[in-house]
Amino acid sequence: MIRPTPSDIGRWRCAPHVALRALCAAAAVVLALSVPASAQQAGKQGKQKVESGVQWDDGSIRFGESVRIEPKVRVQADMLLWNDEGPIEDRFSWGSRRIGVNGELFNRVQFQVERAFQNDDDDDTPWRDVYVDVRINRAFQVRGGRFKLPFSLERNTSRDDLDFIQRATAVRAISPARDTGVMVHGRVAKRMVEYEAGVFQHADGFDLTDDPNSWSALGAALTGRVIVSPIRDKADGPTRDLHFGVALVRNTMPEGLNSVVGRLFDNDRFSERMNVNGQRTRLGAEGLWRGRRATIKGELLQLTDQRLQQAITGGDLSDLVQRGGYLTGIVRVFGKPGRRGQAVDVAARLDRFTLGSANDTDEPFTNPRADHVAPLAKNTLTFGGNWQVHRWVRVQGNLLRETLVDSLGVRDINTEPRWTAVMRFQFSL
Amino acid sequence: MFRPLLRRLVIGLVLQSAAATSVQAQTTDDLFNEGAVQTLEITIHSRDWDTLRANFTSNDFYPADVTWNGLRARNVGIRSRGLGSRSGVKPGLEVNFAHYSSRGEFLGLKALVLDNLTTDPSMIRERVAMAFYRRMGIPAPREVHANLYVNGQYAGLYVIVEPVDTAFLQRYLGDNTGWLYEYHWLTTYVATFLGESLDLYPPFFEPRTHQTQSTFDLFDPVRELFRTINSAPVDSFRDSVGARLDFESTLRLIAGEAFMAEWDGILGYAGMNNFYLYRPATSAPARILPWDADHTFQAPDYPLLAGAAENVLMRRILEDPVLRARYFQLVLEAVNAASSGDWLVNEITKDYQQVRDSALADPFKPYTNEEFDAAFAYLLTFARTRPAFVTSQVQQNK
Repeated sequence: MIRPTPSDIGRWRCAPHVALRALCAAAAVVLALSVPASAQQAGKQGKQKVESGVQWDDGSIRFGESVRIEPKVRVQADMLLWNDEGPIEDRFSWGSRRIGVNGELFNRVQFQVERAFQNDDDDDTPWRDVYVDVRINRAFQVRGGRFKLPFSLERNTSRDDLDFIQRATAVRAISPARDTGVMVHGRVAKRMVEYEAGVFQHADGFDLTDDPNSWSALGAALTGRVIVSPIRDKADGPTRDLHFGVALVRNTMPEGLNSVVGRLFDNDRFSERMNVNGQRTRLGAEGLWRGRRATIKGELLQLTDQRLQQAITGGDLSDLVQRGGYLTGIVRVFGKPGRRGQAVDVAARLDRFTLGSANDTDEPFTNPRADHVAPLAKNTLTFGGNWQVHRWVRVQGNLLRETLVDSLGVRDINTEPRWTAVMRFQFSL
Repeated sequence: MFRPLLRRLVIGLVLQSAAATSVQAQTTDDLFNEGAVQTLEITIHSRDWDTLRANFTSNDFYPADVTWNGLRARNVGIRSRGLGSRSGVKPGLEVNFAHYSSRGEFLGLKALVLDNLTTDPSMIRERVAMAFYRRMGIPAPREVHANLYVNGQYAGLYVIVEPVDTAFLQRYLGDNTGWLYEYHWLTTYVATFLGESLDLYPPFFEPRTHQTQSTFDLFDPVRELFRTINSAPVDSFRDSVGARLDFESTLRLIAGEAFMAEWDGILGYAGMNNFYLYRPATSAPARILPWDADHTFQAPDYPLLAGAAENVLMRRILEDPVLRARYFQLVLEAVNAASSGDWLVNEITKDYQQVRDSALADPFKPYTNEEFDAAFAYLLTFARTRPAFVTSQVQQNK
């Protein structure tokens, strides 16, 4: 098994007393804030006009109708209940700690600034979303700054709203992280079609701006995503939402051990970095169906890397291919449909991530310059329960079964299933 | 019109078949054939070779193809190796055929060592020493010189060393089901009792087989071996330790190393070094196997008992009259093995003549050609004078 990188080490090693103290503090804040929030709920119906001042209804601060500012706070504390790796030294770790602010100016300009206090999203800076979004009209909006690339339904779902404590393996591995760029987006065809198209500065964290050859071949990372929603927010009937989407990201990777890697729940890598050089192409397809009490959604993702001049002899290697996807089912067992208010959901997700190469006929090897990369897959079955205690407080529990599959038997890995049970306490304003 | 084509086809098939037969027929005996300097070719991405040489202190593996005598092992792992011999100019290399595939092997070998010979100006000490140990009946790795080419460029004269692994154990001991440990020098260790905690033993004794077994299964017998060496009463020392350590093979190895003036072996200048410990799966006692003999030939008058008083095992062996007598007997056997028919002189001369052209052409050796020739002359002096000196030492001490 590949050892964790230095940034991985310590995910479950934070001092327990620190985590506990923060957990208690967060709980106290929740209790304190829940009183006025409840009081405001009672007077909600009577409110007609937006007035300046703090609006407890949505936690925002407003200055007339033209300015809305909304502070954001997120604290996620995770508790590892059980795993197959043996005795657990420290059960507590931080899932995420962020503060930020978002808002809207003159009904035209939206903005967000968010900062993290730990590396919770494979980012190379503490800054998360820092962008301005200008709305010309519904069909044409322009966003500039640092934000998530439009690829993958689950990657573009906020950590606050994830159905499980961790995103699917393929989403974590294949979908790109945030980057600095410009994107146009909007809804057309009576809001049935949503599009996003952007250009971003970097190529998977590698700044290629100093390399004119790369820029000429690259033109930065180009992305596009189209979502078709034949049914949206339908109040009655068996189907309330239905959408399908496809997405594409293309960029150029510099020569080196720069392939993406798969990770286990504890962040240990289970696949090696491979030498790549050339175009990286990501393709994604997504679908979602939401009924009154049930939701089914899934994605198929693929990433191919060119490996020009990466063979031992200096020649080209076949493309590196990484594929994956997931299928999630969620049932609301308590509470009203929608995201607000108290509710209990149960969910299950089956996800799979595979590593291989376009050449799958030669003798397979695991090395970073293998033409036929020995295939390796990870299957994960996750069962989850989400208890929305309060609009700002959520408790999640997940039970995971992770299995590595070495179909050709050339890797020295443990293929026994690994079970993990973990809980998350989330405060999110 | 078709007849020439058919004839060419038949001839081609016959030649291909013959070539395939000769390639398949090759064994490790051919690889370690001492009759000639072998030729090894490594094909590696130039970027990886540059990185390996720049980061020669790292143990990172890089993929490469290795070709010997028409046989090509693809996608093997190579890494820089060695302790004092590490070099970025002429890296010592471990070639691991199974690093990138659990099925990987080459002539039945899982790995090979390419010794860069940077600590020995004669470039033949280790090979001669290992041949001498085998002549004494000690299981010792086979070694053969090889011209190494990397991406078509001459990379210097190396020695291919047979690894001490399960194939080695099967070949020499007829059993490879037991526990093999590679000793790592960490500090001056002279066979004292390290302590009760089993965590103290893995840093010194790295398991090379049964690695997935529990710490207790792996290291309790090692702990008990050294506990017994240190605490067994004088009158039962031979029986108690003898049940855990094979005295005959151990004394034979120490005698061989003592004759060869091994400065960095079992009784090394800084404690024990350069050996493997093998514990058979049966109730048979453990054995010590030699490794890395490039510090032999230290001096013709290197004391026979250098390091013996400091080493608990050897000190207690010499306190037992039976073991002491047997030890000196084995030392005289070593003297005889070296001097009988001028074996040692002839072996040194043969090896020197065989590798001289390659050594002189080696642009990366850290010695001049004059130093190479002078080192050969020194070895001859050693071979001619050492037997008499050791014999006199035996007379004085036995």
